[in-house]
Amino acid sequence: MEGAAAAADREQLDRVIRGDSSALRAIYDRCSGRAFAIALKVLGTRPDAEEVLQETFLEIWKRAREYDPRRGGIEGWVVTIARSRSIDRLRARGAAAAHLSNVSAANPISDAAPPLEAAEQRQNRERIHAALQSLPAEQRTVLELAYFEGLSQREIAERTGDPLGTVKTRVRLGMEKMALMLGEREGLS
Amino acid sequence: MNCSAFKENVWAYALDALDPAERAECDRHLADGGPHEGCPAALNRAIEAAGLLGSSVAPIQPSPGVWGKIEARLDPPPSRAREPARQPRRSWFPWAVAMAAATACAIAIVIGMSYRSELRAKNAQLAQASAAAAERAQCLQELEAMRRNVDVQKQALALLELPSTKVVPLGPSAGSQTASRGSAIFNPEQQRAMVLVSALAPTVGKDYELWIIRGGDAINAGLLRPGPDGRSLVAVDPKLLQAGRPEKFAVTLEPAGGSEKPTTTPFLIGDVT
Repeated sequence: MEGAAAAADREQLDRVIRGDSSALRAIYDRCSGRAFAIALKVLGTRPDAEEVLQETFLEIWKRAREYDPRRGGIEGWVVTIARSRSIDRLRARGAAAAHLSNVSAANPISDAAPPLEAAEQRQNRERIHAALQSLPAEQRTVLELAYFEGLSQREIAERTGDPLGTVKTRVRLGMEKMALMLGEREGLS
Repeated sequence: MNCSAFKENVWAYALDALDPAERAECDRHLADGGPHEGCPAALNRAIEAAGLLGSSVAPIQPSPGVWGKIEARLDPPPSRAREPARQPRRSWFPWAVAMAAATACAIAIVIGMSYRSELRAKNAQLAQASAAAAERAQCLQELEAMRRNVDVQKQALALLELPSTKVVPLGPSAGSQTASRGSAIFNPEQQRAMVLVSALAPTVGKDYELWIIRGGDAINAGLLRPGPDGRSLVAVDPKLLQAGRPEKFAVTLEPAGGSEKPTTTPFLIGDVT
């Protein structure tokens, strides 16, 4: 993460720690679109996704002190929390939710036009999306099942019928390629 | 787990795709002081790479009212960690030192009171939660007891309906003034028996005990614990009936918990003819 961006993130979170709700609002304006999109993709319904979004920002309000800039920018942190809370809710809902999630994955809600996405962000997202699509299908599948459905490697093996060792290898190879792309992205920026 | 194994697992760890045991092992490895061969850096990179998956999704604006709901639920943020107290400089005037000390005391008192108040509130919440949990457990226990009673009653009815079942009346023994009455529902073919006794008076420090009399010997067949209506229905352990046909069923009043052999004369008795 770039030094200036990291410093700006840290400053914004320091304001949140001091109880400045306008700083939280600024983070919300910047990150809620992606966090909501992730929650919606995992959970499949807007009411659930909006509840998760609320929980996410309340958690950031309480846990701003725990932010670690070495693990990416604020947006990544917000998205990680939103995704974790969504997975928790999905697991609590059980099999019916998994079904719903499958339906939503088959009909990606993310096709909806994102009106507030800046051109640079859109290009970045499209590049990442393209990179993900360029992975061999079996590697992409395991990453999507893990990330968007919260399945463990063992559960993925049960779902796909592949040996556990094969699933582990696919996760590792797919993630290594994503990390490589991360390096390329940093090189470009 | 060594560093090499951790780095093999770090991708799945970042995706939260490990089984709980594997995850715990990774957590332990990270918590271990090291030296590590680049494990924290590998983890940071894996987490950032996992974040890319989230970045592949186009943002979608939530409903306009969501921020308002969040704002309405914002508590005051946790208080900041206090900085270590600084030593007053010698050049300060004594009154300034005294003022600082008084202010520090006041702050400490306010913080202390606030902390105690928070602690009391938490304790009250905890006590409430514990009481609710205890009530729930008690309710479950009672429902479970009722269900067991219903099950036992069903068993007794089923046993009674069998053609080879005998009903042995239990009445007061000679000299007994008891108002209790009972019946032993006994099926010699299936070697099963159930005993129903009514009008058992409440006891303190004593228990009613059921006996099978065979060959002049009294065999302990369990305690009778009457409900609020004074009734008790128990199933006799079939093993006690397999050794031979009982000659009598009897009930005595024994010290709490029951006795190995009767310590009092049976007040209810019935002959299996």
